[in-house]
Amino acid sequence: MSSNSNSSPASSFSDKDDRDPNSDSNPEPETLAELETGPELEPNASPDLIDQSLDALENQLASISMSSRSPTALDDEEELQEEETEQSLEEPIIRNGSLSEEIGAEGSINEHVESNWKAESSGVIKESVSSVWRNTSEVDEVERPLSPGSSGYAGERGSTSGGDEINDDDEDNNEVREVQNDSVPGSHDQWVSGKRHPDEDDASVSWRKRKKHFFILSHSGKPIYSRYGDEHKLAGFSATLQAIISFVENGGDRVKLVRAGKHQVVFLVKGPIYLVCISCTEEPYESLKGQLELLYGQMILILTKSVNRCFERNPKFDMTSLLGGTDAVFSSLIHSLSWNPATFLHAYSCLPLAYATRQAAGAILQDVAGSGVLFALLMCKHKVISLVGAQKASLHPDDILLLSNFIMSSESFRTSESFSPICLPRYNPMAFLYAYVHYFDIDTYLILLTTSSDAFYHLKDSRIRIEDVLLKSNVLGEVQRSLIDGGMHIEDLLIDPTSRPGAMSSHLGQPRPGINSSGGVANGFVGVGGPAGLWHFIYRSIYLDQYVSSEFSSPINSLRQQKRLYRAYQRIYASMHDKGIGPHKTQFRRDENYVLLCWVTPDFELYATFDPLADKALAIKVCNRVCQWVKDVENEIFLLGASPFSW
Amino acid sequence: MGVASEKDASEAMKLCVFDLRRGQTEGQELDKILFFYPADLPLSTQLSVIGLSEGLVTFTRIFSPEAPCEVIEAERHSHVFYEAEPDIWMVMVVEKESEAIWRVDALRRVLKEVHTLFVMFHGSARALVDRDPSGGLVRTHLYYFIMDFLSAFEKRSPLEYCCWDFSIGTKLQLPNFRDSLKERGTLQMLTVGREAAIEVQSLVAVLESCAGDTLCYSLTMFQDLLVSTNLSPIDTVNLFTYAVLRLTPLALSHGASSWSHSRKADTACNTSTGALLLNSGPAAEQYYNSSDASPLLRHNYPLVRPLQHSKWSKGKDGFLTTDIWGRDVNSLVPTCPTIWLRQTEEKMYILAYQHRGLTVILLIPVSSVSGEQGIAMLKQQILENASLKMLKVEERLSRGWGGENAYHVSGYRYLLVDGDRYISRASPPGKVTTLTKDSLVALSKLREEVDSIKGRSVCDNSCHEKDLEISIRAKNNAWLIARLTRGKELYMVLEKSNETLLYASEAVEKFSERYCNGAFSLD
Repeated sequence: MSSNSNSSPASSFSDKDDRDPNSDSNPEPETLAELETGPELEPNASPDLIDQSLDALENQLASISMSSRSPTALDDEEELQEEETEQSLEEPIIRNGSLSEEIGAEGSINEHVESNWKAESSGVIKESVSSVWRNTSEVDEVERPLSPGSSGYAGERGSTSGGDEINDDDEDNNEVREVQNDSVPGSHDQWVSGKRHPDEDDASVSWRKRKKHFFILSHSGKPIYSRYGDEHKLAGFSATLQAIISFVENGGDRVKLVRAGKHQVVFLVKGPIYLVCISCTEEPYESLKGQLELLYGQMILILTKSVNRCFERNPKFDMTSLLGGTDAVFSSLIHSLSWNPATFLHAYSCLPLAYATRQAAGAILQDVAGSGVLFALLMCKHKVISLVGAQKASLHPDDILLLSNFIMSSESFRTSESFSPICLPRYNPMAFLYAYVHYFDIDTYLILLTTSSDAFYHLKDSRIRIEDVLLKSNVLGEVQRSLIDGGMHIEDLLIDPTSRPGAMSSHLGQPRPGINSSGGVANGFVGVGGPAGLWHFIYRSIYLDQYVSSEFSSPINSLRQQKRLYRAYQRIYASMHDKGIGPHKTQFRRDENYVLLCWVTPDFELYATFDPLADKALAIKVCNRVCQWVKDVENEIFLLGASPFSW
Repeated sequence: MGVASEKDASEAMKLCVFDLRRGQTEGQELDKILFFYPADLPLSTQLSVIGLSEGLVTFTRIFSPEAPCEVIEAERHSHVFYEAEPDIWMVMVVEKESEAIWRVDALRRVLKEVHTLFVMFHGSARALVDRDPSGGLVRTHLYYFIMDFLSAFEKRSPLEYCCWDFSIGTKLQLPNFRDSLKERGTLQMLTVGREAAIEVQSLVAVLESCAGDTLCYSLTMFQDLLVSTNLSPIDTVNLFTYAVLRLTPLALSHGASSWSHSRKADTACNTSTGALLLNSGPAAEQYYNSSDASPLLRHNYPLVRPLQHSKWSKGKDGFLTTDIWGRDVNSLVPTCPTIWLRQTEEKMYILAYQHRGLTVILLIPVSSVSGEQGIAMLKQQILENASLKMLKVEERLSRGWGGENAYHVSGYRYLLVDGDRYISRASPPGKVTTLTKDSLVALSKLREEVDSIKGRSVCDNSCHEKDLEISIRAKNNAWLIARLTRGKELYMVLEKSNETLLYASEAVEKFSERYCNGAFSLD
């Protein structure tokens, strides 16, 4: 900790008073050291503890960089596209079957293999693919036939539904939706993130054609992060962005948005940090701005806002080193911006569980929360199983999103129990907390947040207690079952309860009385997909700050369709929540793809998708039934106990 | 000239025209500026506006080469871009404040309108640049034209029934959210009965016969509404726009009554390099480009200011006259006005005859008439053959016309646009003002959203036209409705229908059946 030795780490970084002053072994200095001078290690830390936490940190960084290097089929596929620079990058390229299998077979391919593979296969791919996919100008709008050779990546884990993912634009072409009907739920996290196309820069045609760029730069124009391309090579471009911002600033104004054809350039200034998104994804300005806010929040989660001081001291400060190895965190966040409704709803979702099961989990978390734990979260992938906060502390849904993204995108957390400094930007952007993270199985993990930097062993003990209880009460088993069963299936609304009493008991664990009460409606249902053409819905509870999204089902089968629907929700959300005049109360929107019905009340928001030919009166009836259904099963789909301490 | 007193006006709006083919060497940047409003803004400020605009055009071309910068939204200002001709850009900078909630597309239509009108009278800006590479010629023309155009935004009280009103006092009043139920650049038609239509048709036939073998065009208006025309749609819109601005009875009466105040802004000139500065006093025809410090009059081009106020009047014979185009040196008879047709690129004389509410505009190719004499003969012919018919047509039309609220549909506030035919019809402005600000702002935002959806389908070149239905129940319980179907658009605000979505849909359905031939009905 060279540069910071003259100031006490605790005083410079923490405004918490409950920190143990005797702790000379706290991991904070490392972070400080890292902040100031890069990842240097604290020399005088007490060996045991620091080993532990340093290992964790090191592992974390190592695995981050490893995962950033580790290829996915899609990464490769994208890079292959570069070889055809005259082609639009948005144009999909179908991998050929055998190659995909090769990848699928490879559990964790290292960089070496990747490049070999790439070298060998690129020719083949170009040949086999371009004839099929060339000359399709508007990929986003055109539904593509599935290619037999396109399921390779999916085949690896049996989770995707064909060629759709590669038809998608850069940022999410390999996404696998969590709630896909024919897939392993939650499989989106098999998406391996990391830096894409590091060899590109703003002179590359391919780079210019990427659908969605994200940049973080400093107020002096130094690049900090770029989604595509090498930051250092983008210094000139970065300076241009800075020039635009400061030019407008000099005129006494602040630039928010530049629109050019389908492209939007969105600017967000956060003190010395500038964030820019350049996108032709047709997302509304408010959505893109919200995404930049999340990106900024993710950076704060890693560094805290005290990073601003570095710029106060030296405006030309180069921040890239501080974020070294965190590419995977950002790219995984960016990925989730195109599938995770939590990113625009600002609400979190829970894993559906029987009430008693969630109660059992909550009780033990509550137990440990008293003793020095600020927040205890039990999560399954990005979904909350239970969460508990000490006294009046509350956790913002965005913090949950960013924290779980950080943990899930860092490989090291999976392999060992970790103790890592993190900052919750909505809770306190200035200070680090310490996160004890432990995975119980591949999907389920525990986060214990504390303000005390030497609480590792204490939290480890707490974890052991929690694990005991979870095992005894079979919570983890229930979690796995829930993953397989999924959440709310709209088909279940169709079931006429009088004729099929046996179907009453759903995997949600309880019969649904709501179906009985409105059985008459079911008879009138017609349409494709669900009842009266219901295709999908999202229900957001205002008080709980939680949402539930139905499982995707026919005809929203492919990732392409799911993403299009996601974008449609994003748009209608933005349209309903206009800053100046919103929120509106109801919106009915029919275009060639869907009928979207949105209903905002003080208690909840409902977003429902129907067949474009759906009848209005029936659609309204179905919406009422969906609301009733949600109320009937709210014990299982929401975390109810959280509300009193939450807000 | 007090800088402080100018501040309000200059803060409120800036409008510039610049040519990216000029001034590309360092130190020559001023040469890019073809027009700047307000002209007395410091050159450094002018240059910075243009610098930013040019910078962003270049920057956005990196990602969007086909469609560079269209708008910059900043916290306090919106910069609206319009590439009027290749490399000739118009940029309007407007300030955002409580009353100034702009719809970008509406502002862009103002730019578009000023440009198409300019081209109608003067030909393309590029042609003027080519004719006088120093830029003096194009600057002079642009200056007078745009200033005259903007003064229309300056002169009337907002309560008057007129959609060309951009001004309260001296402050420019551009179309804002209160104009959400209007569509600039479209025609408003008079609905006529069958018999009236036949009479109009025969009038047109008579008029055409007056012109003999020459191919001529006509445009018949009643009050500010179009009755019939055989011009191409784009030329119709241009001429219609001009007629409503300066020729119709309403425009003439406004011209007579006002035009006295509000032109102090450009009396003062701070002369500096490259800026075009003018007096608007009697000596206003004096102008110079101080970069070469030589009066451009040496070019001997007559300066025509077609948008100048109060220059049109109705002659005894019923023809509208103006000396905007100068006078014959000998007889002092005003020169007959001319315009360029977009469609045929032909130069045409305009002959406008007016009888009460009826205005008939005849366009005759300049090439086919032997000067002012020929025009006089033609006028004579028309008076002899057609004046009686015009009397009768006027009588019939005014009998059938329901007044300015003729197209009010009670309970509805609507705008109906037929994009293919450039036609729109809307609730009368007096009725629209009964809507609350909240409803109008919400509608403006909804239209902004629809504009971007439309813009996307244009980008996609998708052959199938967008089909869209949006019904929003706003916070104030008003229903806002937007419908797009087969090139037609319907926007509606239903304020008193405190009912369900089904009720709102039914209201639209009824309206569609009764007034739109079922264009927006679902089945």
